[in-house]
Amino acid sequence: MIGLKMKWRHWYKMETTIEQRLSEQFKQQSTAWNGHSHLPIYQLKKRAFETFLQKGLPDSRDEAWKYTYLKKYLQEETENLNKNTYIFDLELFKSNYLNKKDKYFYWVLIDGKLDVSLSDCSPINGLEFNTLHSESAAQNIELPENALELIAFSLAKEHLTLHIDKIFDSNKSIQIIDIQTNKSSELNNSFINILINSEAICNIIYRPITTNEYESKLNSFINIELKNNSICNFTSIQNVNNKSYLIENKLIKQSKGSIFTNNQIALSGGLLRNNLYAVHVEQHCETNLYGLTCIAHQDHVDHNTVVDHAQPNCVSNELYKGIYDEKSTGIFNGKIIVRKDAQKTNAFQSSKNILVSDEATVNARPQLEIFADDVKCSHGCTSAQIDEKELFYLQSRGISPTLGKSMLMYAFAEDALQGIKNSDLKAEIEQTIASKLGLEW
Amino acid sequence: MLKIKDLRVSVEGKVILDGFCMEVNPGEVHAIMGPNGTGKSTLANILAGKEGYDIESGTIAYNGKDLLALEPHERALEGIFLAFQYPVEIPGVSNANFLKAAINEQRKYKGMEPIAPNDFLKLMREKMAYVEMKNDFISRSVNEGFSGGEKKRNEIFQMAMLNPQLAILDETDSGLDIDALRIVSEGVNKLRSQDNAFIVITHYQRLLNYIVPDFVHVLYGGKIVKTGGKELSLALEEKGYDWIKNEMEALV
Repeated sequence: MIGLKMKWRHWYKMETTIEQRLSEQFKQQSTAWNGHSHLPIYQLKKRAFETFLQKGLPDSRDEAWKYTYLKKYLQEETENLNKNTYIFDLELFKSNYLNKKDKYFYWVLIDGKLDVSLSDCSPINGLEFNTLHSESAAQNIELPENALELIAFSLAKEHLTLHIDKIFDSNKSIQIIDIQTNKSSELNNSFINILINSEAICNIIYRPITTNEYESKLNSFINIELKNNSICNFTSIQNVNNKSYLIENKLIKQSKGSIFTNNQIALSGGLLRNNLYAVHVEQHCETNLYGLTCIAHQDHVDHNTVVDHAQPNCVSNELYKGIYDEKSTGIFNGKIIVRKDAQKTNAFQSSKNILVSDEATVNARPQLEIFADDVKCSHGCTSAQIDEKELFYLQSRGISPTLGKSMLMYAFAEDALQGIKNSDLKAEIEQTIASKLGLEW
Repeated sequence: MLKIKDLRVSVEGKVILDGFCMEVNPGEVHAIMGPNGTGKSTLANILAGKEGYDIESGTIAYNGKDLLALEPHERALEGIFLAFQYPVEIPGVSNANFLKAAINEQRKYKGMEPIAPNDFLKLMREKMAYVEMKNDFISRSVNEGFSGGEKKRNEIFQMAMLNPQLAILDETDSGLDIDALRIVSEGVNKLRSQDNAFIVITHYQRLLNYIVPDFVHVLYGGKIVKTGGKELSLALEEKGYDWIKNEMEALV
């Protein structure tokens, strides 16, 4: 009996490609559209999926995927599919994650579907939300280009769209929690669409969660459009178990005078792949990209960022820092494109990493593609070590080398958090990092 | 408390200290003076446990223990404190977190519970007054952006917080203006007791007007060549180090 089962699994792996499995998923999902499939949004989803099938998944021939063999992660099957003991503890979830109603507006996606009872669906001044079934669902959407965005867009069961207006009170942050409770080895997908109107200001937090012990795979696509003079501060916190894989795709389009800040906080996960593409469609935009990675075990983090300076007089700043322990691996691929007309561009990029263990590895690759002549650009990567003079200073005050190193790593991480404006969130992240480094403060 | 016997130390083959002897007892303040390059800072660094020195021979006993066998942090936990000549800046570590960690390491070593947050804050406020530190100091990063005087004051402040048994002040007076010199010296004087001792390394007699030593040693050619009371530092101020140099050469 066992032999038979093994054989079957073997056959299954050999014969079913990821594309076929995704096609099956798409077919199943589209049966739920009955009677609506003529609507523009479903037509668009269908086209997206077809486009994906033509393109196929990226592989190692693609420069941006050189160090992350995506198919390996997606092909992998979940081991404990047969365990049926898990029950999603709603009350625990509420008390752990939805406990600061005074500070956040919550939007909760459970297994890809918006949970209306847990989300702040009652009217909010200056904030309007739409779902997949809204009439305006297909508005403002262009077909994405990359395979993972196409997958997320076509396979997402929900399209959460938030329209943020000038009158929205930015003292409260928007928190989107994307929780996976199912035990399928299939890829889960989320599509989140954020439209920020002229002069609107908002803080947004995206927090994917996988329930403890269970592995899951989530591919999310976050589309953000910033209109004139709007400001958006976005933080993604990735802290899932080592068996879970998160792929996050962000597409940012900035109009005149807008400021976008992204904080990419990677703390734990078997695979954390982050694709970010920010383009300036008008002049005088500012883009700030901060990243902090603090991982161990065999976790694999792959940051891929592109800042597309397509217009003159724009500024971009990028600072990614990483602390890699045990057998973890990190990749930083940061591209800055300065198009021919993008004169007076200021673009800065820096990636700094500390390898705590001899077995950890980091590949950092900054890329500049400059086609304009009146620009200021700089980039640099360093693989840092603990400063011996600083460590001796701490030791001379009675601090053990182990604690001293942790303190210095914490200090190293600190300035990668400078983009986080929400002090409550910052404190939470600092606390998590401190405890990861074995500090009790 | 401290017994240094026949210490011979070299750095990259160059002998810095040779035949160095010294004894320090509780309640004493020893001043070590001498021209540049005679090994004053080497002595301070060796006591604190800095790497990069080759100890060829000799012994250092501290409260009966072999000091050279201890790691730098173990020496600190045993009550040794070095006020650095050039304190390093540690961006990202606040003074409060730094000192809390240091105090809790000390308490752990003594088998005590970590300090309560309120007690810590109280202690910090109290000791900050010793060296006239401003309030924002607590949240600032260790020495980052501090002026020369502030860095030295911070060294004395840390000393006050950690209350060492043996403190070594390595040219704490260098780079200080008159006011800062007074603040730093008064800070040290408040800490003087029958149970602790100080080794004050300096070029100038000036500091010793404020911190009055029991012994003044002249370090030259890697060892102490002259020992006296406070009057020796005055004589040095007047005659200069050439007086010692000539005297030494006459002996040869």
